[in-house]
Amino acid sequence: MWFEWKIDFEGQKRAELISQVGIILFAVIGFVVGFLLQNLLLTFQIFGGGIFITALIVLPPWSFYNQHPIQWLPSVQSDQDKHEPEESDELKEKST
Amino acid sequence: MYNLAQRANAIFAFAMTVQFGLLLSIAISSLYLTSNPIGKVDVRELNIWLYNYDNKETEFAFIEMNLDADLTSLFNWNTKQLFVAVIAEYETKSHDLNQVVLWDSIIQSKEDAHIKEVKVRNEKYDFVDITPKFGEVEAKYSIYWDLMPYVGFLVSGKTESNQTISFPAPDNN
Amino acid sequence: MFEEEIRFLRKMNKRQLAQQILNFLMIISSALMVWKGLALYTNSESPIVVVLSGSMEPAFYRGDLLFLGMPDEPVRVGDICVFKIPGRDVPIVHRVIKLHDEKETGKQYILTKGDNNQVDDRGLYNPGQLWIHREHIVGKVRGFLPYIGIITILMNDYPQLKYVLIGFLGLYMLVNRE
Repeated sequence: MWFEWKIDFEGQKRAELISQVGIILFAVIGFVVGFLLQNLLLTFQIFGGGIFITALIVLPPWSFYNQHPIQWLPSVQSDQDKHEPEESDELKEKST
Repeated sequence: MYNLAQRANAIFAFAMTVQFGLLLSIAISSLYLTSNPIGKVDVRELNIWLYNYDNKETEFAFIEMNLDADLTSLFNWNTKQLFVAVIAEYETKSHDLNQVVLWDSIIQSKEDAHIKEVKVRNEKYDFVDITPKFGEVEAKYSIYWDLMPYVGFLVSGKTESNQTISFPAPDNN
Repeated sequence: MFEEEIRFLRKMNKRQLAQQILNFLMIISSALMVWKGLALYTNSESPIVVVLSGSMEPAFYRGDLLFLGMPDEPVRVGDICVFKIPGRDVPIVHRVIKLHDEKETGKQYILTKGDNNQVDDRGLYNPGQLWIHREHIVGKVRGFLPYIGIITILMNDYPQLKYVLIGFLGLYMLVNRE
């Protein structure tokens, strides 16, 4: 669905890395700056703002998350298994 | 992580965990910030009056003091407020430690942390012993402070008392 | 509309259901173990409490979380203590404003008052009771975390919320394969 904002597997790995690094980074920066300036509000402003920025980078399906689209196998016309997609074959192919 | 809901959920959960670590760091780091609170209580007048309390003639003390304190060094990034009180401590024959609050104040900013009060009385607090008579023992008067953080550990302390004063005999004997 | 979900529910057999229930119980029991372990470590019956009233404002607001400890040292004036009056369920978090240690017995006579209250707590004690003692004290407040306990307050004020939450949890458990 268009509202699902899907991204491919490589993109997911990238998104996970960016989000984890980003959140930790803004927490550390917030702590250090707040501690040095002795301003607790600043710490949470930096951390909160950082989460917002990270969400902007990670949530929407930017093009650099879709550089390695999934290669689906051509569908086989059979009467029985119209429900089951060929995903499992594709995954097996990837792991070998 | 393949759709919006999954990514949003993952970010939220991770942010919560990191935030917990952040709060813990703030709490622990605040313990290592040094401070130097100073203060003293000057007792100007101390009178005892006898009143009938619970069918017994009981000594009630009335005090007038000057307070001089500088608690600004207690205010760091994690200090939400200071609860400040004047306490009297004394020993009687039957009770080896008696501690009574005579006056209190809540300080919420560094600028307000200079205490220079003159002719302060124990209006809110009764100065009375658990037994009907003080017995003219000596008491020490000091300033007590309790630091309430935004997050973390409560820390409290007491300034040194610079004089010991004996309770006088009752005025309306 | 819900064809896929209904088909999935029909496919679930007793073993899967049992496994789900077991998982759920495991989570609950490990949470309980952590709670009891914390109680042992801090030597207090309930080491974490939520502030329920505004009598200690502006220090504590409703919904704040308090961490308690019950060290061996005796209570001192100025300590913020959580105590229970016998016969009443609700614990009270107030400050010690008077303290008298009896020489012979070592018994502590304690009077408390909320920072935001004009009068001391004798109105809250049992009739005729003028002091509380160490046995009434559940713990001393050592640590503080703002706002987190607001869930407990909401549950108290809007009990229907509990059932809605349990309903969602049950639904989630049924439809979730993990």
